[in-house]
Amino acid sequence: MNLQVDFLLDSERRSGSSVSPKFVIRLAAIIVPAVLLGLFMILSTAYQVSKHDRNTVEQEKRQIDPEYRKVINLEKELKEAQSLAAAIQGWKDSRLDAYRFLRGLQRAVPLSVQLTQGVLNEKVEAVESAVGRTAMLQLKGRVGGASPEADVRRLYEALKSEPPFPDLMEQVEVKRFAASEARDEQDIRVFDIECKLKPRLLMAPARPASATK
Amino acid sequence: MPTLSLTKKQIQLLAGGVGGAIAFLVIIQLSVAPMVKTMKDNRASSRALREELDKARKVVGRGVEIQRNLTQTRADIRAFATNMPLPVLGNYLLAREQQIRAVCAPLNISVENVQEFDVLKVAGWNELFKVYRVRVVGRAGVNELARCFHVLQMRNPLLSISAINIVPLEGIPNIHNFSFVVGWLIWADPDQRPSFLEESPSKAP
Repeated sequence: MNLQVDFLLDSERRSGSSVSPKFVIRLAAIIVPAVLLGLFMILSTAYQVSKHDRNTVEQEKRQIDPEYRKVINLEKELKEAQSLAAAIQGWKDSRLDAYRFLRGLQRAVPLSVQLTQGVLNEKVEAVESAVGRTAMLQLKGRVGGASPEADVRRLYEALKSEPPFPDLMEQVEVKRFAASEARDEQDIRVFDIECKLKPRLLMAPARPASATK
Repeated sequence: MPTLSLTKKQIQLLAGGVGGAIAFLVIIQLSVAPMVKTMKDNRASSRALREELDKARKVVGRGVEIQRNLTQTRADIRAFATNMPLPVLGNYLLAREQQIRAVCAPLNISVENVQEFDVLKVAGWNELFKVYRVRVVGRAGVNELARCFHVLQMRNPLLSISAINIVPLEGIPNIHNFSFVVGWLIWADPDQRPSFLEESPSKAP
């Protein structure tokens, strides 16, 4: 049996390594500060570069700024001008072609029908979320002959389907068809027709908030 | 308990190490950390500024096109504005009446009366405009009246007929009593209309 006894105290122990701790400490005392200094210099260089970059961009921005502001102002002026032009164009495009309307009405009335009054009234008002022109046409008339009902029906159909009315009319309604109240007009029928024209917008309706997202 | 006996040199080394560590931490805290923070700020600012700069360059690049569009749009408005009557000493009616009578006379339309109907402010539309309306009363055939509307609307694309009332005359089938309301688009305040309208097109920017 082998018995090994270590008589050395901890403080008396020596390393077996050929590199002494003293040398390691001295080496560390040089390398660590050198590495830290190197890191510091890298950091310092990066700092200077970031500062230089920022200054360069700031200078470029200062140079372009007057031109940029000028173009932004131009853009604002363009938007205002376009809005103005759109408003005028909207007014122009929404007007009723009174010539075409009156000519269409002339063609629509059968020969046996005599109009006793024609009234067109147009308003400019809010149409849902926009502004537009709305109009009502009221026709009063008398009709004689063998088939007064058919003649009024023909007028009604013409107001619904013959040009230019399909583009214009939203609703056509015969409000009254009756015998004339005059004693000497027993075979004469009188009628009232009321037409609601389609609204013509002065400008495009405002988009709902959700649509702008 | 083992006693820790250090030589003087070891104590000096230890003190030097602790001192160095403290100095290192102080340097980090006072110099490196602010430098890193400033560097980060600089980079963030540079990035933001560069984005702004790119955007600005794009906007500036569109400058010529915007200028061209503006010139064209203003020319269009100037052309439209020639159809918007201006008051003469505050009066719109005189010239309008003259215009209507000049159109009606060759068409054999008998105009009995031309009078101011109203000046309409269209709520919810463009604040710069109003509509000046007159009522015309007279006698004519429907053909002549239609032609009158055609001429009026053809001569002025901003003129509109907003009411028509036709009533036949007893015993004269070709002639009717009529009244109609005709409206002109006008500036709400002629003195406050856009300044570019005063400039000649060549002077326009």
